[in-house]
Amino acid sequence: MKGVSIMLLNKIAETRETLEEYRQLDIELRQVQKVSTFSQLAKTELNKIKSILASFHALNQMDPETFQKKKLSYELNKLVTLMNSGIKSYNIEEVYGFSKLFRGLDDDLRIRWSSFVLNKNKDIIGLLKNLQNIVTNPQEIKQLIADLQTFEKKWPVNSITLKRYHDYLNHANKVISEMDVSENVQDFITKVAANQATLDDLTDEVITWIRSKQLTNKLVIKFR
Amino acid sequence: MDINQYKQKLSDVFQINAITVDLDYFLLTHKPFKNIRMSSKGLFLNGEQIFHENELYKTIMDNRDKHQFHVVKGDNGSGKSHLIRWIKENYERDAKNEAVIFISRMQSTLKGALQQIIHSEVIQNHETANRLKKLIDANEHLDDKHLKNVILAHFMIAVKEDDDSHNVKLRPNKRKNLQEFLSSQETSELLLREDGPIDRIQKKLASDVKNEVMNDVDPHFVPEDFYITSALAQELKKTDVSTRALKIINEIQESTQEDVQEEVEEFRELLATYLNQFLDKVVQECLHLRGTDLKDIFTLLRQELKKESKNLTLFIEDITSFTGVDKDLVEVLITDHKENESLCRLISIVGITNGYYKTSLPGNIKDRITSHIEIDNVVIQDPDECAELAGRYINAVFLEHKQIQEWKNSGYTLDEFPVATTFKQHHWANFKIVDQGLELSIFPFTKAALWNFYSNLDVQTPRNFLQSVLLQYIQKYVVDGPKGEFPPEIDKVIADFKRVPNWKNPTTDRVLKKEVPAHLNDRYQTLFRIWGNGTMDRQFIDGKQVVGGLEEDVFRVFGLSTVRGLEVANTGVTGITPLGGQVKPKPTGENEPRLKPVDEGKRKPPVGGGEPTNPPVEPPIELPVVEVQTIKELDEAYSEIEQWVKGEPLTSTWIFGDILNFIREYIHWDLEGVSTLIVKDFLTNNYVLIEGQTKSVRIKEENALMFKRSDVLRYALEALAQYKFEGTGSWNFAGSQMALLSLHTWIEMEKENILSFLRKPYDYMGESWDMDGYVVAAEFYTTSLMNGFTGDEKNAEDIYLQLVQDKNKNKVQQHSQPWVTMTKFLNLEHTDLFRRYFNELQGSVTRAASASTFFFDAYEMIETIDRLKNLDFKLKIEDIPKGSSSWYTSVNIISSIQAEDRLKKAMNEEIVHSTEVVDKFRSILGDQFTLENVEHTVKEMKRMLDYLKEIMEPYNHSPFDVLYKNGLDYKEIVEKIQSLQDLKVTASAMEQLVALSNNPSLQVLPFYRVLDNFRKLMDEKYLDKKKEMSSIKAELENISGTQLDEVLIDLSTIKDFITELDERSVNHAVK
Repeated sequence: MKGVSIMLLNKIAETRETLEEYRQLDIELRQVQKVSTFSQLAKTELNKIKSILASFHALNQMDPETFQKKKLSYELNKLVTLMNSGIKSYNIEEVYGFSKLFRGLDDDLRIRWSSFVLNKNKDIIGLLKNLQNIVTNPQEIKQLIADLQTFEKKWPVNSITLKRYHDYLNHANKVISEMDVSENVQDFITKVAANQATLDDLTDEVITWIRSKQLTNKLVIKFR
Repeated sequence: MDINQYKQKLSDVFQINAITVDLDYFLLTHKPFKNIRMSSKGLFLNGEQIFHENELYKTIMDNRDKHQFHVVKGDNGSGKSHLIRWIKENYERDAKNEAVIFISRMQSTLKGALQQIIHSEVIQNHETANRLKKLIDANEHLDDKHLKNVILAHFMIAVKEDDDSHNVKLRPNKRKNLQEFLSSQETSELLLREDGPIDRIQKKLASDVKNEVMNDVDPHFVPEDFYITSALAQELKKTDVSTRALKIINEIQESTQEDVQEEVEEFRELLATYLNQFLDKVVQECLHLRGTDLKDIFTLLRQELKKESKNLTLFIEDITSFTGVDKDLVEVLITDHKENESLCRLISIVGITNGYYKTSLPGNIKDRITSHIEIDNVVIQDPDECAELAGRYINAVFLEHKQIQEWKNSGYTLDEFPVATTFKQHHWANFKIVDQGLELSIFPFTKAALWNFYSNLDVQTPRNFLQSVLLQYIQKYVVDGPKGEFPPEIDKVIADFKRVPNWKNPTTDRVLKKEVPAHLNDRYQTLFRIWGNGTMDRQFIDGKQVVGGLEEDVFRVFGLSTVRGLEVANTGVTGITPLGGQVKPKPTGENEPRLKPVDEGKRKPPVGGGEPTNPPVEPPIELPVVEVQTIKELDEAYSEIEQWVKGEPLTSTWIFGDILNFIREYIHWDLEGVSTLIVKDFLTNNYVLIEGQTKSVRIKEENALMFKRSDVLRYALEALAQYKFEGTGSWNFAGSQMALLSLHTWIEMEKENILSFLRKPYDYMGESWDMDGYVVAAEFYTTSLMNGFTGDEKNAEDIYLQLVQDKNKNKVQQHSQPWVTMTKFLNLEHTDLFRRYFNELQGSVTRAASASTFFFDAYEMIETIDRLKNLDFKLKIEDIPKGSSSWYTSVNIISSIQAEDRLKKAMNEEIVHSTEVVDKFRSILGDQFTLENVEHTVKEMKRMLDYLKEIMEPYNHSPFDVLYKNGLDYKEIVEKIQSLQDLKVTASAMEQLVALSNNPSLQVLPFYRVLDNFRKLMDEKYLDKKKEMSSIKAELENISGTQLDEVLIDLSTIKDFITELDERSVNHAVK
């Protein structure tokens, strides 16, 4: 065309060019967003696996017998497949599928860890509960019991968690040993706790222990 | 001669087909052609000349050594064959050493024509006989009763094999449809029906009907052949007719929708023209005859005759006898022996109808015609020629066989021409043929009767005259004459002819009723109106009483009594020429009629011939004489008028009404250049008066049109009185001619006075009143301001076409305010006034304001427009007084519009607005508005919109729908924009006004809106996308590119864990 209708035609050409440029950019953005979304979702999912495996590893380190190593070759193969294809195609479903493989392991470890802690806590917490009525620092004992009980539900775990649990256990044992309680005294304390102690139970050994621990004003006598 | 013998004689004489007429009768009835129009470009004369048949014949004979091809042109029945036959009879007698072939019309079929060639003496005696075998075969083939089917089948094949080499073409699909239509059982019946196209072609080739003359059969398809009613179409659709044939039916069936019907008619015409192209081919195929066969035979014949030093002359009465091979025959006729020395000279004289000449004779052939001999309206040109032709035939009918034989023996010499004497004694029926010194009887007709019959025929040809008048009425005379029933009653004559002459003065009817018994009235009417001169005027001519132009013997011979008639004032003066009969009064005595009443038994003519028996007549009936009564009111009116002319007042009001009515109807206002609208408005009681009349007028008396007291006006008023009281509102009274003459004389005297009163307003003193100009100019302004012009009107014709249209005020509101204000000065009734002013009113002037159909003299109006165009529609109206009558309606409009420069201001406002619109376009499209540029832009816009759809970019598409619906006429838009551009530089205000009329800026605004919306859309998309791109870029920058790497690291960590926690690692460790 000979220099006519230039204005609108130019505008059309210019707009078209802009639209095409925009389209390219938009495609690029979408691609980047896709990768980003995938990465975030994958990371979240992989973190869960990492956490399970980290718990497993810590427990195994702590108690290789209770928390024995397992056969994981299948999971390993899947991992290799995921690395070779799933990641490249940004297929989050494959990541979810891989993650699913560890749910059983997670449940198993959690239950075993929970029963492991319950078992450990059972005697110590019972003794500590009896003692807290007669000691001068019951609040401290109560806190200790609560702290120990926390680990019954704690999941997942890692080496630091495990170390902290052991520290609490050690501290409880130390408290009990400092009270210097013989077996007879322990029976007495148990009966007192159950409101079943009588004068007959105040043996010399018991009276001596009470005096030595300056617990006399902690005791009262009443009729049933 | 008894009735049967007369009938036989009539049959012999009136064999209208010339060839079958015995030579005796042919020569007896031959009336010389006296005014043959011959035109030629070269050989004999250059131009046109009128010849007597003898001169024509001499011209042909004098040039006998030259090649001649004469075409005798005329309508059916005009006498072509008769002339050709006459030339041939003379030629055979005079031309020596000549081979003559005469091909008469016979039955006017190809079969008849071929038979004549085969049996002609020239052919039979020559070697060419063998060559004729093919023609004979063809001839035999024609008897095939299945010929019609064969013809149709060949048309079907011709359509199928059509290679588009013909002028008229059908699309292949339609050809297939037509092929099915022709071959399908149900539809082919339509074409094979009696008198249908195939039947006609078949008849023209070989009619089975003996003695049926095929002269008027058209062997072609005509559009009417494809006429199908919608009812028949529905019937056909119920049959098994094929889909393709149905398509043809749908296209040719009658429709009630006007536009569809127009297409139907066009298609029928196309089909007829298309199929006619194959006619020659089909005929030749059917006959197993090639056109060249005929050509070869004649070539061979001419070669052989040349060797014998002979020449060939062909007389062909009707070229259409050669349907199918006619064009090849004509090829033979045009070949001059000078172009081919092996051929003998050829003279041909060929009868051709005007229709054939126009449609079927190729242009190159027309150029080679030696002369055109035109004989339409030549045989009968006046009453004398009509009587001469009739006289010759009647003479032949009543001649004795012996007389004819004697004439034959004398060698048909003119001196011995036999004359029948049967009715000689009726002098009024004797007709002299001056140039031949003959006196023949035209009994039982008068000359007037013959001419009255002839001039009222629908088809005025000799053939029709002979058949419809002479043959029929001589038969009637022979059969009914003896019973006293001839001439027939007027109603019966009207039934035969539809039109017959009326009384010259309708009141004569009343007089006749008074004079004759009711049961004879109708026969008397026939006598007076057809045999006589249309009057009952009684005169004495040479001492003999003549009533209505008929002498006493006429009445007597037809068994009627003479009537008294109306006495004519100037009795005995030859002021009235009787139209009827050759009234040649002779002394009574020996020529007294011999006819006497006879009883039935004696009326029978003697058996076996002998003296012809004169038809007997009934005894005359004596009739009473009736007195005419006087009329009281008429006498009173006469008395008043007489007093008035002496100076008394005129009080009767009816006189004035009647005189105005009469003037209105008498003057041809159109011819005088006075509009009937003006006549209706101003030739009224309010503006006109008779001197001495006791009535007032709306205007001052000196301004009114006054009819002065005079004797001439007196007679006119008396005439009106007769009209009112004697004729009771009609001119049907005795002496009305005189009354009309009086009125006519007065009006002619007053006419100029009346016309000048109606040519300008009574109160306008100037000399340049231009009513036509004012009305046109005012309507021009009305049309302009009311959007009445499209803007393309450049010349007066275009402007005229818009001026007469209805105007629509609704569109005016879209103009600028000053323009709209201007329209308030218009008179919305002006268009009606304009139309009525220029209406060439059909009928009474009183309908000038109410007629719903208008007839315009466009030429006159266009001339006025042209004149005003030269003045740029600026008329001088300054010296015109103010007025409110219809004289001033137009002037007032012009005056208001031109006052205070209103028009100019309004136009300026519109031009400013238009300029803005142009600027708007320019801002979008640039400077040049060409159709090419606009269309390119629109194309690009559509491409862009398509692209937006493709990339699913949302936008409101409704503003652009119009681009896809072809709702904009870009050509018109470009023209409008260009005219808007031109507006500023146009010098003529008239042109500006026309251009602005239809608000051109408004017309282009829809397109501008589309452009503007599109521009906005582009801007919006451009900006949006630019903005979005910025945010996308920012977003892209914000999205970490390392996320995927982190995932890979996590996977690697997981792999390490698994590897370590896999029990195999324990095993490995143990190991």
